[in-house]
Amino acid sequence: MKTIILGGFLGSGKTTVLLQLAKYITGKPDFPQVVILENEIGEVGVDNEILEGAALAVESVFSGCICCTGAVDLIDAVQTIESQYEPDWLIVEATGMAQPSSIQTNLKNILGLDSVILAIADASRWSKLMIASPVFVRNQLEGAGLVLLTKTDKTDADALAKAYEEVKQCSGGAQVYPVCALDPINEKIFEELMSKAE
Amino acid sequence: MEEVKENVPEKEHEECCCGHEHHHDHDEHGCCGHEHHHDHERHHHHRHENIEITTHEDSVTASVKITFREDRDRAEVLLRSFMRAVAEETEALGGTIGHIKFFLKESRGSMFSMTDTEEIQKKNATYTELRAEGVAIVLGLTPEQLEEIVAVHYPGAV
Repeated sequence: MKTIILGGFLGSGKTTVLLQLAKYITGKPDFPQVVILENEIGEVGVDNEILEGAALAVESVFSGCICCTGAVDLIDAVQTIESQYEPDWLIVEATGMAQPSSIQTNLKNILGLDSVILAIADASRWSKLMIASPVFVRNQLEGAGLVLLTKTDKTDADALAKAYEEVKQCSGGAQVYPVCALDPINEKIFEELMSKAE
Repeated sequence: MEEVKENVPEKEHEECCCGHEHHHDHDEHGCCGHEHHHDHERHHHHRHENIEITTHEDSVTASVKITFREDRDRAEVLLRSFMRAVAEETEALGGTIGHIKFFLKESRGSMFSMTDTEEIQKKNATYTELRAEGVAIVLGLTPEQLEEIVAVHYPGAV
């Protein structure tokens, strides 16, 4: 089971990217099976409704962050998914308050499961969030295999250039791709991500 | 699921806005073997059964359920107005909007009944129910502040 962890701040566009990524993978010639593990911080789910509406297999963990307080739920859910579905791909969508690198560490240490982190950074709110919660936002990029800098359509050129440079500095050498996730994302980006998960 | 414990005797308690004491404060070893400290609470609100406030790290989340019996257009207007008011007031109080998102579902019920082995009668509900469920996740506000904002602007649709 190849595993992708999708992380990034609240409202950065994780679910929008996930819809494209999952459809890209399931559309490949050998029709690989994809299961999504959805984690939401509140008591009610919203993203799972969108994903299930797109005919994707979704398992949800509500009301606890799987990077920390809900780590046991993460392990339980991944084991259940592996035994029930035996999927080719697992995509874990973290909450917007999660540290994806902690999820990666837990999966590796407990289940021996390797994974790659796809980190999403919101270009339009980058400067604002770096004032409100700089350490947290920076840490969310830790261990990223690849970064998408989203909402380029809502960001002026100067702010985008600044965000790109700062995200690049925080990403430990990972490639950073500016995208508008409302438009089709270049398939080469998904191929690069998938090759890192092989 | 987040574990919720109430009235842990050896820890400092905080009085919830509902007047009860609820506190959960623990250190734990994460699955990765490192020691983590988490401080998370669930506030029990008796004032509004459709609003639940939880905290995680620096964020405060209001989980909200709203039932509308207006038509869809009117329900959307009310929902948008509610979301905008929560966003604006969060910023006015110096908080940061994390994510405010709702899913609006439409359903029309039907009842099926029988009193013999032959006929099954069907009655359609005379109204369509619209149900919105979602969250307002913010940073920089207290749980009490967020609860107040959400409760004040909650659409009184039912």
